[in-house]
Formats: sequence, C-alpha cells, structure tokens
Amino acid sequence: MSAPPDALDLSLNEVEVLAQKAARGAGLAWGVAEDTGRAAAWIAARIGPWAAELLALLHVQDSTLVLAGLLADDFSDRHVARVNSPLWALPGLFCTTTRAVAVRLDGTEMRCNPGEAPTATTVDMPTASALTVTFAGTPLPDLPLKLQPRFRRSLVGAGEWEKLQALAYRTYVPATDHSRRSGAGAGLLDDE
Amino acid sequence: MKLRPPEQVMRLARMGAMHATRLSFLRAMLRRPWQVSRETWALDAEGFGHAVYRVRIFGRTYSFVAFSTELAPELRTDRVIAEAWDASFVLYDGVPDAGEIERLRQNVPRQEAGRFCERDLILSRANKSVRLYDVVARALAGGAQPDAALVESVGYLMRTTAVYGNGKFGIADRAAIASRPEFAGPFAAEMLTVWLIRAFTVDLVEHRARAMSATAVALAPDLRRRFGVGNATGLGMAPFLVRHPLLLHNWMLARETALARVRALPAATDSTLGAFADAVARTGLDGWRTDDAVQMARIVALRADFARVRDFALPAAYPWDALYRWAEANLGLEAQELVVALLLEPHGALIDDLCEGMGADEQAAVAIDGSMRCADLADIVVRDYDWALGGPPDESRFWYASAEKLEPRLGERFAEPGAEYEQPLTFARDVPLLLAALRADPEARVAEFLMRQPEWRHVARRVQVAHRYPYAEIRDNLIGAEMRPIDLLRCKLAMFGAQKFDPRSDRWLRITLFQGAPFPEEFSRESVERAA
Repeated sequence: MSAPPDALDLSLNEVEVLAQKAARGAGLAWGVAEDTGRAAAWIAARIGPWAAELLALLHVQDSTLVLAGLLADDFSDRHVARVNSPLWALPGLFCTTTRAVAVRLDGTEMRCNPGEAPTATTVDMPTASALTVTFAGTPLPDLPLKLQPRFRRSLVGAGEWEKLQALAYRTYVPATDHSRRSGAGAGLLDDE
Repeated sequence: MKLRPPEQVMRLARMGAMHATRLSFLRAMLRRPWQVSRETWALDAEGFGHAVYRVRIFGRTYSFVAFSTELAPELRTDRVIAEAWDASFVLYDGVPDAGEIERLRQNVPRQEAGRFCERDLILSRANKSVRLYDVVARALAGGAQPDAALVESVGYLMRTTAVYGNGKFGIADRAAIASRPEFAGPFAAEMLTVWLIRAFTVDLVEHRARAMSATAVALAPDLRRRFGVGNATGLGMAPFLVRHPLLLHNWMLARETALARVRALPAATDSTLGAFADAVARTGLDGWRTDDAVQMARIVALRADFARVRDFALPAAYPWDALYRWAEANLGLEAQELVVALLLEPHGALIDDLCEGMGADEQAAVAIDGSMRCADLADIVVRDYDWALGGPPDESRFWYASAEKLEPRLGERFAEPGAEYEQPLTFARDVPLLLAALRADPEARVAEFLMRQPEWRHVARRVQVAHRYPYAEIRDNLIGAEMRPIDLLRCKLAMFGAQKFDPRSDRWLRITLFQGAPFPEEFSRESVERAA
C-alpha cells in the first residue's frame, strides 16, 4: 500500500471513531454513521485505503443508501442494487447472521456464511456501480481467497485526515462558561 | 434457580449500589501468574526520572514504564482536561531499547497530546495525593511508620485520572492483544497497568524517604498493603455502558449467573463457611467516607444493615439463598448488593469460570434483522420497553461531546446550546417514538422501513439487540433531571473492582483500587507457591 510521506498511522479503533463522527458530521443518521464507522474499520483491516472514498461518498447527497442500505439480513432473496461504491456495501452484507450471502460485482464474486470470514475470487475491488446480492438458506462453498483482517493499522494522508476531522468536528458542542463549570464533572483543583 | 430479571437488575438505583466481586476485572487479573521485576530505577533524589518494570507471563514479556516529573501545584487537577501530571505510564509490548525509551519520554508525559504506536498497549497518568504522599515520605524518613488511620482513610499515594486502551491516540487496538490468554476478559491490560502503578507509587515514596534520610525505614508489610491506587472518574466513562450493550449484558449475565449458582447450593461446606466469615470480617465499611450527603447517608444505612448481616444465622438448608432472600426483603439496595458480593466470595471454584464469558465482540450485536415485519418489531417494543411507554419522558438534559476536549458531557437542554448534537443515550425517549413510526407502517419489512427512515436505524437496532441480550439495556431514562450519572459510573467501576466510591458531585467520583491486594513481589512468590 503506498502512502504519502505525511500519512498518519491510525489504529483501527481510531479509523472507526473518525469515520463514524465524520459520517454523522456530514449529516447521516446515527445508525447509518455507526455502520459507516464499522465499514471503514472493516475495509481498513481487509482491503486497505478507505479515507478518500469515504470523503467522496460523504459529498454525495443521498449517501445513506450507499453506506447503510445493504445489511445482509435486511433483504430477502435476490437484490440488485446500484451503489456509488460497492466496497462500502460489503461490510454490512458480510455481517450476516442468518443466511449465506453471495455478492457479484463485475467479474468478482464474494461469499459469506453466517459467522464466518467472507471469501472472494480476488481482493482487488472493482469499481462497479451495480452489485447483485443473492441469499442462500444453506452454506455456500468457500472461494479461494479468505477476506480476513490483514492490516492492524491504517495509513491516512494528512489532507484526508484533516477533511475527515473537519466533518467530525461538526458533532462537537462548543464550550461555554456554564458548560465548563457544570458539564464535565471533575473540576476542583486537586489539593488533597 | 432463576436469575434475577433485568427489570430488577438493570435499574440505575441498583446499578448505582453495586459492589466489586471476585468476578471483577482486577480480581480476575490477579488470578494470573504475573512475574514482575524492577529493571530500571533512574530517579533523582526528588523522585523525578523514569523506572521500568519487566512483566513476564505465558512466554511473553511486557514492560511497564513510569515517568515521574515535577508538577506545579496550580497544574494539579483531577480533570481529564489537565495537561500535565506528577507521573505518566505506559504498558509496552516487549522490551524497549534506549531509542524506544526516548520516544516514550517524548510522548508519554504529554498523554493525549502525544502520539503512540502499536507497541504501546495502555496509557495512563496520575497525580500524587498531596495529603498523604509528603506525610508518608517524612514519616519513613524519620524512621517511623505513617499514621495507619490516615493511610486507611485516604487509601492511596497517587490517583489516576485516565487509563486509555483500545487504540486511543494510536496505541494498540484491543483486538491486537485480545487473543492473548493473559489479557482475556475485559480491561485486563488496563487492570495490570493500574496494579503496577500502585507498586510504583509505593516504591517511589520509599525512594523519596531514603533520599531524605540515611536512616529512613521501609513501609511495614501490613501497612504497605493498605495503600491502593486512587482514580477520579467523570462523565467520560458514562456513555460506555450504553454504547457497548453486549459487553454490559455479558457482565451482568455473568454476575447474575454466579449469584444463581451460589443460591442453588443446598448446603454450605466448612470451607465455604470459613471463607464467607473471612469475607465478612474483611469488609471494612468504617474506612469508607465521603462528603457527598446522599452517598454518606447510604453508607450509614449500609453499616446498620451490615451489622444485621453479620448476625444473620445461616440455616442448614439452602443457606445462601436464605441469606439473599432475607437481604432482599429487609435491607437497602447498598446492603443487598454487598450481600451479593459476599455470597460470591467463597465460591471461586463454582463461579470463576464465568469470567471467561465477560468479554464481548460487539460485532455480534450489529446486524439488523431487516426481514422482520414492523408490526412484529412493535410487539417486541411493547414487551421489552414497557418501562419506557408510560408517557413522554423528562428530557431536560442531553449528552454531548465537547469541542474543547472531545469528552462526553451533560447539558441542560432548555438552557444551553448544542442539543442538536445530542449523543444517542436517548432510548427511553426514542423507543416510544419508534413504536409510533412502526405502527404507522405495520406491514413493511424493517429493512424497507429503515431505508425510508434511516433516522430510526440505531433505535431499531437497539430494540433488536436488547431483545436478544436482555441485560444490555439500562431500564431508566438517562436524560431526565433526576438521573445521577454517578450511578452509571459506579456500575462500571464496581465491575472493574473499585472500592470506597466517593462521589464528588452527581457526575464525578473518586475510588480506590487494589487496597489490600498483594504487591507484585509478594504475588510472584505466592503464585509460585500456589503453582508448586
């Protein structure tokens, strides 16, 4: 994975928290923002870069559909969805709990059985805009590549990091004298 | 034996009366065979410099690195927003070389303002108890032991104001160490770090005394044990229990399962009766004091209740169940929950395995069952959230993250700006609203409903999670005027193993950890003896 020299080395928890706050700051609903955070950490651990694509998605007017629309157990049977980024639909699809799920996007196929790591024909994610999702009541045979966590850290360019931080910052409430006095709790000088 | 139901257990009043038990995380940590040695002690006569303790377990090595620095009195504050401390600490994965020590020296004392990497597992800092530290150092320097009553009432030489894990500021993710058996269960690495901080504080005060006088004495072993380590905790910790429903469920389920197992015992043995008597004798409520009027009144009532517990004659048949049922019928919540802790104490062989189930992968509580009909989800709401359906709740407060320090805070909705940035600790208010929305669209699948109205997504998920994990939901309004945030803090801190809860207001408190527990050097010897 190539990264700019000014890249920050983030823990995956930092990825999740930053992506969640940025999504919320961009105006997505809480539950969607939560799923976005988890999806970012999922992608960072298994695929790699995530920040630039998230920033692009958060600028799309109705990214709710893209980011949260496809949780595996959300849908019945066969579903064809047009999405801005198939990558961001995958983590939700692969948290399946009841049924096996198969995803096809362009030439790539991926499968996931409940509670197991997904498998794929390749980990190079194509940029297809349509994906076909099929559910199965019985386990599907694994494909050659296991999509397990490969990275424990995530390198994010300083520019992307700052843009995501700026979105995240919108979720914070500016301090007032009153909130400083009362809001946090501990406030006495520690003189004991 | 049935478990106590969530509608009894998951109430703030009872959660705010919980006591540490042998399932608490620090107790679970202390049952592991840590081998600790002091490798580096580079502190000057004033006690400033750094120290390294080596920790070996199960073939792996960790290093606990402590930095002690001079702190101007006006900078000494319990607030999480402080920027300098008397001492700062890191639990390091492996053995740091000189370059790594230098990197840590540049970053660890700066805490949130520093930057960390995957070898850094836990980050913490502490301030001296001004009241006790100098008194102890001077007494030892003068060849005398410090006043035992003072030691007992303060309880610690230093008080931590934050213990960071799980990826904060670049340190290692919890997932990176979760599979190591020494860190199994919640917060084991954090508890290890705090235990080592305690050891450092006692070593430090003895070092200081020796620097003051060639005839200084060491702390007497029995008195030494009475030094714990303090902690000041504010609202930063409160939303955790709401944001980690599966973890909360597993903690409570383990505790309630343990209680049910003990109550189901048809008879006591001589050895459990002896261990129970020991636990009762060790319960020192006299040293528990607070300036908080509400809590002090509870402690006074608890002392009276506890005298009755001591006099309770255990019957031969189902003695533990009899004690519990008597406590529930006759004693206050503080005493009822203390009885729970006392009942668990003699029964390690029966219940300690439950600690293994107290961790959680929150990912298991993420998927939404979108194939459910809205009408069916509405039925679940009516069954599980009856406590929230009695009419519009008091929503006079709101939880938010402050721009100043990015920490959770509590605001007055109708007097302060920022309610539009409210954090989702609002299920008591929002679930009834979800119910109305679901009833407006009863035949739709939840997936379709959430696609059209994504603002309900986190609430719908919550209802499904709480249905599968009944101890996941706190059955009280967390945004009402009457809510005391310290009840949330007390529950979590009791799970950690905290003692001497000392509320400083309705939203922050001080506690003591490890008071009376063995030190690493005694502990290593004991665990070797136990293993032999």
